[in-house]
Amino acid sequence: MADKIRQRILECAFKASKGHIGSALSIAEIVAAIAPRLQGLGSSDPGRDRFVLSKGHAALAWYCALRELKVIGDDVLATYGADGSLLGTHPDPALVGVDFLTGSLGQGFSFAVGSAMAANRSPTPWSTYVVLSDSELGEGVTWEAALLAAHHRCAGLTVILDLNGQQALGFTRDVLDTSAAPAAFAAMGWCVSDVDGHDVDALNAALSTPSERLAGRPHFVVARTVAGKGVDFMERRIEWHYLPMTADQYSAATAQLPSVADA
Amino acid sequence: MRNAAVAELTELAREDRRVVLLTADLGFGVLDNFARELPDQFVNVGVTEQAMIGVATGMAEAGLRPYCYTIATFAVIRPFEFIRNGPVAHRLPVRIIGVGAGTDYSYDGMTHYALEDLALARSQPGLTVYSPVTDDDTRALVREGHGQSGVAYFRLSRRGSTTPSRDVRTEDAQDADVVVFALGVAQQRAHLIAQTISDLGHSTSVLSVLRFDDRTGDDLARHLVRTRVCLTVEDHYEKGGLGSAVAEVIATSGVGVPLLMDAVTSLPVGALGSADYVEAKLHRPVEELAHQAVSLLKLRSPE
Repeated sequence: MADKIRQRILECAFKASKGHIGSALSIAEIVAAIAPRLQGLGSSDPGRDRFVLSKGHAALAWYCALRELKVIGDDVLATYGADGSLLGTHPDPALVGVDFLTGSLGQGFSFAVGSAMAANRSPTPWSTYVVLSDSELGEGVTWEAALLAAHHRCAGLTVILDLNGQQALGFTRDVLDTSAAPAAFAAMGWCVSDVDGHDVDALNAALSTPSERLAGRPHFVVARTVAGKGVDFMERRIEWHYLPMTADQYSAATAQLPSVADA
Repeated sequence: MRNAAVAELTELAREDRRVVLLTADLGFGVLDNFARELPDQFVNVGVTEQAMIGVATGMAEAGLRPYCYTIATFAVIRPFEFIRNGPVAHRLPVRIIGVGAGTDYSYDGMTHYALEDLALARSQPGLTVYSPVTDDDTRALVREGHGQSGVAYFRLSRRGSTTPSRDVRTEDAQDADVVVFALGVAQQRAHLIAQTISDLGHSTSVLSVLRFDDRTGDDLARHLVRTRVCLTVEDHYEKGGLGSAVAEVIATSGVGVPLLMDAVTSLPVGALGSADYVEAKLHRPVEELAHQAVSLLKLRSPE
């Protein structure tokens, strides 16, 4: 599923001449692991699991995951970047399968904590998943939200940190070093796991962490990833945070991906 | 006024178990009874104003009815983008109770003043600003707001006025030389100016704008067509507040009424003191405003 998501990301981004490709490729396996786990995805059932793409600029990856699960069809996905489309560069809950509007970094995490606190009060609690970028660790509200989730024992909350080490203008270690974050989350009372973010099995194993280990704590899954993963000339390259592809680049990029048939 | 709001909210919370009261660690002596009686519906989120609005957004999406309580400037100005991208963008029933409108926290200085909160809040589609004058107004408006589906901001002072308000929405329009629109407890100052205008021989009508929503423009226009001069009195910066709202109505409705605005135009730093001291420092004297209103009347109908 991740390979197909990656292929669709390139196709949609090229056709729409949009950027944020590196960020989307970075989370192909993460969304491939999360999306099938979401109970009630695509419904408006108040008891459904919630998903928050706090790094909203990688929305294209989520749209492609929704397409893989047939929550949206090819016709809807094809509107990406077109006038009148519900598929913006950042997600909007007007689109089925999107629970929260994101794009302003850090805000989505706080929405998710509220959802998890509400789930704690519900007789039929749901799970809440967040995908957070490592650059969002620079936002003050990220730490407010992290403290709240730990204090209020939000065991139904899982935050997956897309630790690709890059942000818009440089490498995170050079711009604002956030490498202390996993230890800080553990110190605040989160259960912390550390996995290869491009290994779907490893991600699934982390997401299946037994409740005995969580022990009432929210779960912080550090997913070590590579921005632009799968396309050698995009991997770990800062410019692919923003650049759209030329036709030659698109051909070169798709040639590097494994061929996957449509679902 | 804050006690009245929380008393009414306590009653609502007993009736509606979806109500959750969040506070960013403020409300000493005000929220105690609520917290004691309804502990499952009360959360002190700590000093996390941005996350408080974010959390309220997530809670409201899940079907709860969160109320966020703190000092007005920390309730609206600090987390404004969270209000915009959270409950406003998602059209969710999050209610914000901000205490300390204008310079109510006079001794605490500019960090505690809310002088642009109305400008920010009334810019947002689907957000109703409630600005009660009295404790009775407060209780009625909290209940009214709970029954609405949208986002609400309750702009409160610590103490309500003892003079009843005349609601611009429900009062019959009447002929008056000068109509005075007041915001919140600035109503008291509005009455002082109106009395001085009356003493100079001109009729006045003092009205309070208790709600800023889609109907407020019509409310104001209904009274503006019956007057010759309008005066607005508010504990808010001049730009974006009540006076600006009235100016928008005058400019777009074709009602040719001169407007005099009593609002804060200078930076409220430096010497401070009691509420009366700060008000006197930041506003023009009552007599000066009254005479200006009368001068405008004479310009309107030179004799």
